[in-house]
Amino acid sequence: MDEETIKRFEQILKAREFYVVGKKVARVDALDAVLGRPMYTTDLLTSKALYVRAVRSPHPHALIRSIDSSATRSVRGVVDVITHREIPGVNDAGSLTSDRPLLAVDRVRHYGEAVALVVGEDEVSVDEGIAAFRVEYEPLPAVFDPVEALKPDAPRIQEQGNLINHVKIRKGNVEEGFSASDVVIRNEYRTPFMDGVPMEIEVAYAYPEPDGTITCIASMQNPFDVYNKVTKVLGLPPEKVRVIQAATGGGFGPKSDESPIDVAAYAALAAYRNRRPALATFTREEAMAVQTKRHSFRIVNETGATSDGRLLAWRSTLYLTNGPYYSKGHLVIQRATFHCTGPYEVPNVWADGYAVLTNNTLAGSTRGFGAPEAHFAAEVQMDVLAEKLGMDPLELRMKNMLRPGSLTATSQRIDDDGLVRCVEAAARLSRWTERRREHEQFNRTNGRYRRGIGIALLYHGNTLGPEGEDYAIVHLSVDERGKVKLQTGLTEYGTGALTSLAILVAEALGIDVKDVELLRPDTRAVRNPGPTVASRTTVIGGRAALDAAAKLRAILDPIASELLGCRQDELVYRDGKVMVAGDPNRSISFRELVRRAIGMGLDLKVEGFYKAPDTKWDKETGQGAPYNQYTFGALVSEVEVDLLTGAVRVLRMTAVYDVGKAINPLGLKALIEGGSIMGLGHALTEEFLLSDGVPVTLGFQGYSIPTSVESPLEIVQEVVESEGKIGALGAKAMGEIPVVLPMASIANAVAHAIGYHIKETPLKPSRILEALEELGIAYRP
Amino acid sequence: MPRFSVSRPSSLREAVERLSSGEGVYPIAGGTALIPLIKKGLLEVRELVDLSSVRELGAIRREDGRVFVGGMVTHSELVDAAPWGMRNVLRDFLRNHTSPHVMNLATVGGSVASSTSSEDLLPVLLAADAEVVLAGRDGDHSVSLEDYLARRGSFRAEIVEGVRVRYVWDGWRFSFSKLSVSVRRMPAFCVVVGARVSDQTVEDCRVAVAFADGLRPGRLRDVEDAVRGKRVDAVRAADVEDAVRRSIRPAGDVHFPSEYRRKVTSRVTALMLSEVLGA
Amino acid sequence: MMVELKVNGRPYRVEVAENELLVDVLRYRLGFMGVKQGCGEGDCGLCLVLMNGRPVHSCLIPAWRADGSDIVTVEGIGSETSLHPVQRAFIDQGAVQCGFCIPAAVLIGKWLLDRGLAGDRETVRWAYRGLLCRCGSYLRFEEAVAQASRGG
Repeated sequence: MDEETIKRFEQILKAREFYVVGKKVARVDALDAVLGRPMYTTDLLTSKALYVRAVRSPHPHALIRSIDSSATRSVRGVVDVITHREIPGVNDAGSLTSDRPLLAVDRVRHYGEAVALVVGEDEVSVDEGIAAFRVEYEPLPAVFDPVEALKPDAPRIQEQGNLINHVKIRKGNVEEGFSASDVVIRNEYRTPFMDGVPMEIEVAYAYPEPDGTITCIASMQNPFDVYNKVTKVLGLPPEKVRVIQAATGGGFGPKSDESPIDVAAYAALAAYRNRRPALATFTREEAMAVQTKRHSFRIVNETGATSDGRLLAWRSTLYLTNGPYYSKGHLVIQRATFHCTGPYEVPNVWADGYAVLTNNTLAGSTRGFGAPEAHFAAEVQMDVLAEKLGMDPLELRMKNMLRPGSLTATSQRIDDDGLVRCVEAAARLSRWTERRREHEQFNRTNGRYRRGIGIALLYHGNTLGPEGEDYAIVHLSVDERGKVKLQTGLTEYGTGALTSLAILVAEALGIDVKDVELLRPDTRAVRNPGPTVASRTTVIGGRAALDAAAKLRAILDPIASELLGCRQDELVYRDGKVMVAGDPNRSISFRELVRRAIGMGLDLKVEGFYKAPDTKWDKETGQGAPYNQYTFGALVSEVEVDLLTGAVRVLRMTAVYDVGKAINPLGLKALIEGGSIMGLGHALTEEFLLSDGVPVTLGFQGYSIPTSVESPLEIVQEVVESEGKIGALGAKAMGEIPVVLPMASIANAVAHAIGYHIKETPLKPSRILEALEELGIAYRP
Repeated sequence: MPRFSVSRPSSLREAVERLSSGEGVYPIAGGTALIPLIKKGLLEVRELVDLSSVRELGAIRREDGRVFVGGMVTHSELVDAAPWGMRNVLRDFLRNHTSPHVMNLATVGGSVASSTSSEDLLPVLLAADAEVVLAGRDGDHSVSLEDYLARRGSFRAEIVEGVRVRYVWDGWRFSFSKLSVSVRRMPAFCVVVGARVSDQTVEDCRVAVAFADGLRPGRLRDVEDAVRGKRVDAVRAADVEDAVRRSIRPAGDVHFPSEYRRKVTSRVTALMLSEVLGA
Repeated sequence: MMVELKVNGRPYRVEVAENELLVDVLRYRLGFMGVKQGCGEGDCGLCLVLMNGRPVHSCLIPAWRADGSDIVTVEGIGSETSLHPVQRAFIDQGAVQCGFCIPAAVLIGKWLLDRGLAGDRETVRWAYRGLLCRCGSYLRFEEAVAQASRGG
């Protein structure tokens, strides 16, 4: 089915009143969840499995001098020990590149790197086996700071050197821009490593089939990434490995990287070698140590503006601290650098983004993919600038924000007014001016507490853009009962995106969402649709779903028009029926139509496909159009700071996002609230700390995520629909978006409250109190 | 979890005998502290002595002027019973508990035995003049909670049979304050303050904090002595703050540095004292 | 050690080892997969069950401690054709995102309703404090419990 026909089909869909899209629809999997039905990997074990865990390095950088597994092998209950020598295929477990071994060969490069696997009858035997395993390490000099790691004499973590990407933006002439500026400010911003912390720990269950196939059921975001590497590690032909995604309790990025590949490979190896089912998972502390983290960032922003607030020049230097293996670091720096100015028009931009290998913890995809960090630095900078200029922070933003006709830092032209509408709505809903005055009044009269209001704006390039080929595949089939089965390699793990796909299909075929059945992602049953990342499922997957629906329509329409005696363009699919426009009595039920088609020997099985246009930009100057469209947003936060304890309470958040088209409003509501709360964690409590490369904040006692009592009492939200160019029905990426702005928005609110801009997260009590002492406003009873 | 054996004594005597029977024998109360330690391999256990079947340990009873609360009484049961006159403190203790559900397992005896700053109950008991009743090989004996905290480590061979607390607190005003983050068991601070004022004079007072010395809760007697007997309007918050500062050496960690704890504990205490003095 | 307990109203007898925890017995011996695990240390709340009417973390309880007790898991609440008001409200209010904390969240909601505590938002918020939801559905839980308590 050609692009033109699909577009026309979508136009028809868009033109009418929606029947299911945009209405309140329950998530397709909500019933199973509230009933506690078994659907996650460890709920599905059909027989007693071997248990597999890894022996891990306590050193951040060391040579492996020798390995002795003899004591391990004699532990009661230990069944197998696997080192790199026992890997039948290729020792490769990088999620995108091939630089990372599954099991270390002669060297370990981070704390927790896996050296060997112990397979046993139960957890206790495996734990004892791991404790008995002997590795002789020779510690090597390690490097943890990205600037240090770039020096010529720094320890070389990989052969080719520690710099894995240098992204540039060269727009206009920054020196001229700074010269022409009335005000120039320069600040450094820091965000630490953080952890996505999906509540369900990575887990994989693998078992051998009679024909030699290894089937693996697991918790993950990208079944084909897992499949490709497991197949490679086992050295098996493609048809002898099968990967199925079970219901997955949270992804947030880490489950699209190395850790799901690891557990799947561990379980598959154990199952393959021992011809028995095997289960591999982590303890919570282990998971936090080894899953890929949000990179730590150091960003220097230099900004020049006229005295009336027009941005003239912007220079950013961004250092992304990567772990020792690529994972996705070379791509995260790209997104961060491209968004380094925030959503503003700046005529002269110079940016250098460096992604650097270190012996810190593994880092990779984490919700936002560099955008939250870049926006923290850009948006606090804007507030500092506003203060310097004596301008209201909202006013400064409105003066410079991207509007139709604006050019971004990469000189991409913005055509839609999404940001303008978001800002207008956020200002209105948050009662910005009024509340600002109220809080300032409160601050004049209160002793112990100070309140503040802060705003931050975002733009977010959709969807993969420079990060890869942006396509998707969705399979549809219809059975005799008129039930539509939707199967895709795109995965659900909390975003609600697959419900959106079901909604789109239901809308296109005029049936109830309940009649769309989602089958599990199974590498044997679907073609590789690319990864479920970058918030692209609704946008790109949605187009593929609509393509599939259109293809079904192409089969059914001729039959219906014949039966109803009308033209094909007079057919209306609605309420489970197919009818003639303007003559509802001439109709046939969808189910009956399907029965007829099947009776005629037609195969109601289609594959929908969509690929977004490749994006182009110049690698030397960063100029061009790296993304096909942008999501926009504005977040206003109101806080109360306790001048005695330094504790920050978020009173209210007001979130407005341009979603392009709201396919599933109820899903969006939960997503926006939930992401705001996760972002609140980033702003106030989350930091993954290491001491000489050894994590010191593991487990929930170490790494603190928000609970119910940390949530604001109110998250007011509004959704703006400024149609995007490529997404299904104009939808824009949303899955990651709500976590991008809270750090900046809350930091700006705190600055308003205490009169000082903290430029490092988290804004934890001890850090705030230090600032209060310096300002002389710490509360003394 | 590693393997071990279990004994289920039905009397205190039996329980004490089991505990003295050798190395690696530990009592299990609520399990909220113990189970994680065993799982992580931080405690090598040969035998667990289950205290849940020892009747005496679940009692709450009046004993002329005092209340005895058995070691196996859970935090929830304690708050529900509110057996002595510090109801608002117990209510605040409940409201500020890191996990309302762990309260249904965590016990009075477990909190006392762990003797550490994560147990909000300890400043509460310290302010209530608690005595710890210990059951050992040579019978029962009691010791002030202050002394118990000062000399004991956790998980020794004596069982915390319970605590005895003064029942009547007429004329006293108490206040409880705590700051914690997420599900961290170690708070930034936890302070309980009380005072009885008569004729504008501080007749008596109590100051108890979670971080008195390292990770040990304690009663700040020096601060109490400095305030006791003074006229209310002569108690200056700055002096109280100073006195607390000098009395405590809190442990620091990656979230709350020692100096932060010291500063905030002293300021909060000074503020709370002003409030209960009605100043 | 022989343990006799009731789960969702039905009696069970099961031989357990000394080091077996209630969460594992409920899941792997008795098949109640609705009880989840997330940390093993009583921090995350995913393993929450009602024991003799009180919410507890089953990962902290040796199975033999549950002898003689009455346990309720999410499987004992409502059914597809007859959802408990809390379950209905969770669906209506969009509280389900990744779903992993939902069994525990439903149990807390039921407990609040049974105790007559669902009408006070602060109490509801406090009750959910012991459950970590990374998807951030806390406000959805509050709305759902409010709906259920209104009889909606």
